[in-house]
Amino acid sequence: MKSKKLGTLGVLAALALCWLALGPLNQAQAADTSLQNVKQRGALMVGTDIPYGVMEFLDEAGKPVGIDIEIANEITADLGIELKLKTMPFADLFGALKKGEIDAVISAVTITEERQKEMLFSAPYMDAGMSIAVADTTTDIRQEKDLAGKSVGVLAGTVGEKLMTKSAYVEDANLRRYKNNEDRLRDLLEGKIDAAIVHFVSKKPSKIKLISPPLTQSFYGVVTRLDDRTLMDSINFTLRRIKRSGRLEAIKRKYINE
Amino acid sequence: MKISSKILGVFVLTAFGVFVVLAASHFVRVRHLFEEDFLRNAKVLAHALDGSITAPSDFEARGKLLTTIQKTMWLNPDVVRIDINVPDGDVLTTLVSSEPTRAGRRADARNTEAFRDGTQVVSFQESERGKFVALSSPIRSAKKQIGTFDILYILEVIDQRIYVSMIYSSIIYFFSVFFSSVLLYLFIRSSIIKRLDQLSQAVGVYGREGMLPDVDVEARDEIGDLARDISQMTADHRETQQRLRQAQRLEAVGQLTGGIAHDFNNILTVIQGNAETLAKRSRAPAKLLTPILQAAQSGSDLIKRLLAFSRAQSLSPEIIALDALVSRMSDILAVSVEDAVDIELSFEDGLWRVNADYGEVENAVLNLAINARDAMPDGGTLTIECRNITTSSARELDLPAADYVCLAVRDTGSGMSEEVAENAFDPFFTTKDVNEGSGLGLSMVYGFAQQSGGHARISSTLGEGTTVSLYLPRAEMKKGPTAQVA
Repeated sequence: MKSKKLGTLGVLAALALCWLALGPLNQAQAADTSLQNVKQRGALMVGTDIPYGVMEFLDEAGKPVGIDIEIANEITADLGIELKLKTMPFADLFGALKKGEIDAVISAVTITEERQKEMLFSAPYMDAGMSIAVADTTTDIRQEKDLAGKSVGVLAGTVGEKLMTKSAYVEDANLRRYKNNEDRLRDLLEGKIDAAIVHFVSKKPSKIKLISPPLTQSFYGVVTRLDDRTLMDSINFTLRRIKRSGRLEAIKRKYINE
Repeated sequence: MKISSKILGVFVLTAFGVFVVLAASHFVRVRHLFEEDFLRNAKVLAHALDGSITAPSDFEARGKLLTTIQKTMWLNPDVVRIDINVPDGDVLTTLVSSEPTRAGRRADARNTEAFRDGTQVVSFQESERGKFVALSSPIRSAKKQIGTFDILYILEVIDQRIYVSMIYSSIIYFFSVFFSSVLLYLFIRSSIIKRLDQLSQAVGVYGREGMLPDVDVEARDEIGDLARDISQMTADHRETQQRLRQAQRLEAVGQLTGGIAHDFNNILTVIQGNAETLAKRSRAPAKLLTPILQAAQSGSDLIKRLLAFSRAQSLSPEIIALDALVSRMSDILAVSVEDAVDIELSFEDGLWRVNADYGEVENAVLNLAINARDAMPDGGTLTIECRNITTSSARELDLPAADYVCLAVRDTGSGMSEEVAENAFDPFFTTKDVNEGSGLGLSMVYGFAQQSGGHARISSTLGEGTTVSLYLPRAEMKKGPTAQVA
């Protein structure tokens, strides 16, 4: 009897110790209040660089639309809060995120290992391999090799620019760095450049075609600060949901020619 | 509480129980199936990843590995993390991860085990971030373990799927159990309860009206047995009541007759005695006296018979072997009946002796034989049968439980209607012409049997014949002489 009682006491003591040991851990996890903050505020501050192709642009009424905007809307709808968009140049987005001006970046951000070391990325929501885009009438560019001696338009600060800088075929002198995607595509149609490195082509009737296979395989992810795990869990939940239900596919088909 | 309500109650409870058991087992089964499904997916994935790495040198192309990881996650939304672990000296560490901040960490026990044993290791985890299944799988190159994949699946979809599946299957289970219960209940109601109700109503009708309506006695089951029993019981009951009525009537008539006969006998005795004295002493012409004496004698005979019926005649019981008695009467019987009538005698071996008045038994046999003859004007068979009966085994007798010898006189004549048979023992009841019969023969037989501690019964079927059975109590052999009749 006595030893049994002692045993019970021992178990209780062990449980108490466990609780004490785990307590601080729980507090450490509870310290991540990113989701709680966003919910309390009732709004998710999302940074994005408008316009960027079909991912984000302003419609005729001047309202932001695009695949990223719709995904952001899905996330805030799941959280039951408002979506607040902050538009800024792509290059400023990560700085703003780190400073806490925004909660997340949804702006066609390619997932890379370097970026992942500084920020938290969601599961991939978009297959965004880079491809060569040319005007319908162009016939002499069929692969990366054919870009030798041609002028190629890229967007400054993007993966596309990095890809072309490293390319063995494209000379730096022939590389045209654009800040605005629409200017670039207009130049391509007008023949001012021979090719452009793009993710995909919008559904709007255009005279641009993509050369397959894509040059690279890369994916877009939603970005938060590295410690904002709870917010990211919630974002991932929404992404899984729209992926499984086919909603993500429907959003893409709305904007992209495949 | 009605049986149908009880059965319905049992059904509802059973149906609910079955439903709960089915739903619970379904839940367990579905959960297991879904988990297996996830695990299978994870294994396929691990296999595919394994195929993408052919040599340790592949690890140097970290960018390519990362793209592979991203592509895998892109194709499988439930995969939330993939790590590639390789040995760094003696320690298995994370080389590439979908969460690059994990790179350089020491791999956990699951991966160490998978790496050491070269097998896939599965573990289920649950935290506030959700439920997960983790699969650690060895990477081989040239049949050597060069590292492990660790794939983490989130199981949120399992619960959703189980929930949806539960709702659908619950609905299906509920309705199938419900409808099969209803069908079973309806079947039981039509095959048992309805028939029991019919029987119960029929018995009710019998109680009120004394007539049992048609019940289904054909069914070869318990309810059919019950219907047959009820049918038999009511038939017996009716017959018993009829016999009771008859016995009561005969009892009343007997008392009346006995009383009248007794007083009338006294009167006749005076008349007869004085007439005889007058015949001896006076010279009154015999022409006048003889009719008086004859009438007085007739009256006396009538009185005797009435007394016999009313169980008030004087009897001298002795121990008789009925078979011997009947055998001895065969000559006189042969004379009494017509040539066209065959006589058959049938006696049970070891027939018991009876205690009765010898002469009255003879009279009774003769009376019954003559009645039988009259019932067979065109000839037939007269059977006289003697057999032992124990009333405890003979339900049809209204007699105290004891041993009896039954003397049955059976003819193959015209038979009687039920009404005639019921009144046949009544004194002066006769179907014969006024001058042919007195209507006292059967009454005397009845009265004699009763007075002897026995009973008389008639059973008759119109067109087939009549049997009159005389039941006489078995003699107690210890008291009397062994055999009176040689």
